[in-house]
Amino acid sequence: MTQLLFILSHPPGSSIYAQEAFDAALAGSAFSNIAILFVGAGCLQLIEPKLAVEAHQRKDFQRGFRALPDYDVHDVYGCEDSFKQFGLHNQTLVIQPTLLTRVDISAHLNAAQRVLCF
Amino acid sequence: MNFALNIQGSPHTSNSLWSALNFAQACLREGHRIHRVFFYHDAVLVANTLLAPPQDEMNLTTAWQTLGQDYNLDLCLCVASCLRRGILNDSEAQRFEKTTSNLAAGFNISGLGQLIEASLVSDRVISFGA
Amino acid sequence: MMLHTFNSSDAYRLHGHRPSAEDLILLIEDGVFATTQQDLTQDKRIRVLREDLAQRGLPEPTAITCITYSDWVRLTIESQHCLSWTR
Repeated sequence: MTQLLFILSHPPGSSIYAQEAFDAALAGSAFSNIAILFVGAGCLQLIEPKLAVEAHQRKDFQRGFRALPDYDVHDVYGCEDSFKQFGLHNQTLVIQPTLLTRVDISAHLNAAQRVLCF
Repeated sequence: MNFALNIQGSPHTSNSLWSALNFAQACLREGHRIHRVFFYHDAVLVANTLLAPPQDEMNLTTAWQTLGQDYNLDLCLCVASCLRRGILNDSEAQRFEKTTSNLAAGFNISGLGQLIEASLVSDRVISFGA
Repeated sequence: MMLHTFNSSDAYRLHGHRPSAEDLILLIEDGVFATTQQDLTQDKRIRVLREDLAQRGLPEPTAITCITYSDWVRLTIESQHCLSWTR
């Protein structure tokens, strides 16, 4: 059962919010059974960064997505509508989340003990 | 009911600290408890004791300090968010060899575990997004 | 039932389709500007934070339920989860 569902909706890039939100999810995984849901512009975090690390103001925190199984995080979801909206089906992604319809998302929210929005 | 608040927006470019303050006041007025107020992202900037807004402007720092004191609230800041943004208590200032600390009285600095714990033990967790 | 708060009209435009029929929508902060941009009167799920309308000099729309912070607290208790949408 999902104790904490993290909704990540910040785009990567100019602000550090996306990176910090992911840190919060990792912290959650240390204490509880968590799930992650990428929604809206948050789905853009999943696009594989194409510049060398030193060419960024921000670090490529998205590489950490690949390590999620090591943190025992297996429930990683993406919003299907947002994927369509941002054309993510044609992009190279860091990881492929399980895509959820609106109805699926409601069901997962209902089943989660707590939801943290970022 | 027991609430946990997760505040994320900057005091200068967001309303989230103000919304959360009013929400917390209403909560406590109605007889509910607030297990913890967790300040994340740019919301930690409210705990900078060096802020000196003009007299005729809202001082969010003192407003939160007053509420915290009146109700003995746990006003907890994320340490990683703080270090990035230069909010340091005495021990962090010493550890990073800075010339001064600037954590406003009434706030404390701790880790993300405090947000997770608060979320799990409270009846409701309310996020105030940036 | 879930309570979805929107703190900007962009957030409402982008995520406004998410709440299901039994959910409630609360416009706060700059989200209250949505009341001036589109006709929200047909959607009975919408609530608007009265203080944030007043702070921005906006009139209270007649056909929409305007609520106080205390009402907001009560809605959070009636809701299973409170979701905050910001952009």
